Amino acid sequence: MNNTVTLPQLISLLAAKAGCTPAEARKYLHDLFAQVEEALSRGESYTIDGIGEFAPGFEAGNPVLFRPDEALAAALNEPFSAFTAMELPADMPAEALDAPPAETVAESLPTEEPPVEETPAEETPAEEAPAEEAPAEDVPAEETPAEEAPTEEVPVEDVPAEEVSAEETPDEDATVQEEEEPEAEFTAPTAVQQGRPTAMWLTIGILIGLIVGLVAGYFAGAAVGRYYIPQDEDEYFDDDTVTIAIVEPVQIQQAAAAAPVDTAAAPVAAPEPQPVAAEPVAAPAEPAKPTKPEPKYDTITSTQFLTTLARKHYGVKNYWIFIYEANPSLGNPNSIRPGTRVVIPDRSTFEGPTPEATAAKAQERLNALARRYKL
Amino acid sequence: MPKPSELGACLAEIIRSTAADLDSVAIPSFGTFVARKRDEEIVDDLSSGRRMLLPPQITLEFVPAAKLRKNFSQHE
Repeated sequence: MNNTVTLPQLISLLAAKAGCTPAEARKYLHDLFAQVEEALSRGESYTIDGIGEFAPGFEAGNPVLFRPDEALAAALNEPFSAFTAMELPADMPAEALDAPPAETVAESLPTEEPPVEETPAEETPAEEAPAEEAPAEDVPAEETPAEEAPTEEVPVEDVPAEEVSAEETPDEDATVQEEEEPEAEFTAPTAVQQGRPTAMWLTIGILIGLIVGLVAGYFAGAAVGRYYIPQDEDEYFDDDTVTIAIVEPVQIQQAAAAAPVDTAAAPVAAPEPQPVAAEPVAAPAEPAKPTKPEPKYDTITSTQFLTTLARKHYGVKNYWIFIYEANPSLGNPNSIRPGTRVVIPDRSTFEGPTPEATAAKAQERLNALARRYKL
Repeated sequence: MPKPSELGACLAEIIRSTAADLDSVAIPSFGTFVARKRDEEIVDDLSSGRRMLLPPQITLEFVPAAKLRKNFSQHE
């Protein structure tokens, strides 16, 4: 009530109702009212079917006369069609004529704030009616008499009103019921619906935990595997240390040359080589026996690395480079898997004329390997 | 595109429903269709001396826009 439908709203309503585009609706309205204006400027009247007749006025303050279409006027006053002009009795007391406005029929007509006597359900159609801009044809007509129903305090003249209320009450109830039914559909979610988000989040949490566990296990396994090969650079070579750890008892060399080394993962019992060459250089390595050296094998384990094998078989830790070069399939020396079987080359295949030469050779190859693998 | 008659009928229906809600339809540079409700009233017929109770009524009025009034005043 007391709202104004603007042109854009009218265009959208017309387009929706007629099934055309807003541009077409706008053009139609523009052309229609332009024709009306043109006719009025010529002093002619113009009739729009269903709306009314526009005629030029004769007064300066009222240049346009408008007479609504009869059908339109009848439709507007259809809610009041049950009311007719009635003659009041001459002997009606003045008090009845002076009844307060709240008791008259006018108060029951659609207003923004319906009377308190009305129930909330009954107020729903009254509140919805003004908000609708393009309701169905019968909806406003039905809602208006529904709002008129609670005329409980109408004076003597309300006999027809009561009849109307009695007639309209079923429609009102039906309307109320119809409006309550959609509202009833929007009930509070059930316990099952409320539990769905919880179950969903629980499932997501379990999946995330499994993924995290798998990833953590993978990296943990890789980390454990790296323990087989020490990561410390000092284990492989030490650029700052020039010392050659050659000192070893001659007995061990003789024993190593005499007895074949088994491939079993036996614990290493070789003595620790002296870090500083305090003792004089031992006798040069025993010359290789003229007999054809048999290939020796050993296995990389969690406690036996290349350096361990070198110390075990040659007595010199740095000679692991020769074992590595004898097994070209090892790849990155930091990533040798435990259980890898390697060939232990005979000393004669890499030994130089002197232990110093052999050590220098080993160091040179270690440096080259370090550059390659960025050790 | 629908026929002009169909559009006119739709427009009339929109105006009717708007007026039934006692709302107005404003056409820029043309005017406004205003719905006015006249409450029931008691009218004394002086000629016959009878008192008549007239029912409420909704009338649709047209208020021309200022531009339209100005154009008509210029034409006059």
